[in-house]
Amino acid sequence: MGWIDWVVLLFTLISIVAYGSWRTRKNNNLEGFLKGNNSENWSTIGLSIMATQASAITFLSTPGQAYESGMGFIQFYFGLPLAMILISVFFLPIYYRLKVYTAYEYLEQRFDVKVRSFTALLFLISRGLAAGITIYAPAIILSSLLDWNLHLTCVGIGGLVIFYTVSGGSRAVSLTQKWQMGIIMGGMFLAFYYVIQSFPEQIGFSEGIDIAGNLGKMEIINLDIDPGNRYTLWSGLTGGLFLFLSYFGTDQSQVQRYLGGKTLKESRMGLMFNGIMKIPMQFFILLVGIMVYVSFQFNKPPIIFNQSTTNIELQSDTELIDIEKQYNAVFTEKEALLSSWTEQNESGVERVQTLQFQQDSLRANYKEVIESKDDGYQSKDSDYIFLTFVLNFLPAGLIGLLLAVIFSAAMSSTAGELNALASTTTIDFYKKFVSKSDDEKKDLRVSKLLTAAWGVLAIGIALIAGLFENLIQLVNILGSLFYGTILGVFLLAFFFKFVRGKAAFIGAIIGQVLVLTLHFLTVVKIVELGFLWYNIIGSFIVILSGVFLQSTVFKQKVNSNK
Amino acid sequence: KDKTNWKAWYWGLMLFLGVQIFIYILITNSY
Repeated sequence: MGWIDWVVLLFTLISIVAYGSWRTRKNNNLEGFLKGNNSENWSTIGLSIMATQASAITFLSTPGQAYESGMGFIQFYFGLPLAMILISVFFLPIYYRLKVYTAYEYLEQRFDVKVRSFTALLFLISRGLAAGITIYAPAIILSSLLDWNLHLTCVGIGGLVIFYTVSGGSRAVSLTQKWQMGIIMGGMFLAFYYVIQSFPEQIGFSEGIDIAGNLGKMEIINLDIDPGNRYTLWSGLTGGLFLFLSYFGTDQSQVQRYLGGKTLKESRMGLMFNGIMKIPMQFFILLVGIMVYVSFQFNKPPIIFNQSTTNIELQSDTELIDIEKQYNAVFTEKEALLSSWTEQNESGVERVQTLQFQQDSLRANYKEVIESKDDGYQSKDSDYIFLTFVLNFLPAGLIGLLLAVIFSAAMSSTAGELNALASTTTIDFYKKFVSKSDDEKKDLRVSKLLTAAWGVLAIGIALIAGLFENLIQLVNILGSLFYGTILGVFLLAFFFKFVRGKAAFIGAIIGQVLVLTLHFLTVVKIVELGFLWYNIIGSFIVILSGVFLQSTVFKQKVNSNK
Repeated sequence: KDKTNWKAWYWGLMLFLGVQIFIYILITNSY
């Protein structure tokens, strides 16, 4: 990390923040702050949706995931295009017709204020905590690989975001996200080019794919029907559909992105853009990880990628030195075999596979030894792989650009989250229960203040996240615990027109209690369920109990109203 | 005034997904 990298990184970040604040300096009304005065076209909406979803951890973890377990993760996104279509057909027209600011606002018009407040509260809790982890996750990786101060990194990411989200609101978020996506994709394309450049002379892209395929990394589609298997074609098409329906249809941090469209048509086109581009984009990011894997077949990878996170002296422990010697010998033999690799001459492919298996076992063994001597060591190091490659193989200047990619991704997601948290707090709680006056200047001030408050809270969570390993797990699971309930309520609202507020509210409570019970049973290992199932089960329970209650307990009340 | 043929967009999007999955299956089966 030389001075030129610092110049590139700081210039990129400061110019984005300045641009977002400057372009929105004249905004002085609440609608502009929360919905961008309905001025966005389809390309801004589409990029904004993608930038909000893609956080820093997307660009750090996804290549690492491909490195460890191949391309199969792409199947997770197969439910997304259908979710985009269902939202375009059923969700969007209603949000537009009622001119709502938040998704939860619609629920009061359809059911009652209790249902609205309950779902909005679930959103605020899960998204408010998640915003902290959006900042913490990249900060911990950056700080350990670059030897930066963790707390300063968290405050830096959060502070930059607060600056332009408080001054410019929703429109500043969308405008900056457009540029952030440009930097992210440009940086990733350059990284891809330099990964290929790091191969030996006789190995190109197609030989690289061939090597990766022979080492089992190109199993993109898994047709296994075992529900315990996390990434299969079927889990992607079903579990992925429900997850993306919840996320894009009912999570305010996404809903807010497309409610700011000029017309219904522009918003729909934005969703179509996301449906078309998302899978190819994820495929490309995974492919970068595969190419890093191939590069590390010729350039010896460190035996573990997160050496800096353990306090053991790795170079003076005889047991570890012994494992590393074997690891080096295996790598050297494998590298010699692969150097004579061409697609026509795949000699020794079985020997290469055996050696790769040995190399992976030695790596796992090395981690186990560290774990036995260092309680605090986290053996999962796949999030560190891509950045390790960047820091060791990219030329000066490009390292700064790739760090700007990581920061841009963290900031674009955090900005979308803070903006949505502030608008939900303003519209669904403050203007509903605290101040019903129409003093727009005051409402705008409150909304800005709330944006800053959520930002400070997110930074606070990021600062303490490192102290409680369980907190991070809790935040990651919290979204999937609440999503089923929220989606169930929305599906009741759209498709079961005879169900009223009381039945929906009690149905939502029943669904939520049941999902929490299921999660408790999973934690104590009585049942075994993947987190994607919570979503499906939760929404079904809400719908079933809502319909059942409406047609039995509350049946009389509907008739007496007529 | 929205004259967009949304049905064609929706079917086109699902067709594009199908084509991607088809190509991915071909790649998976070639190793």
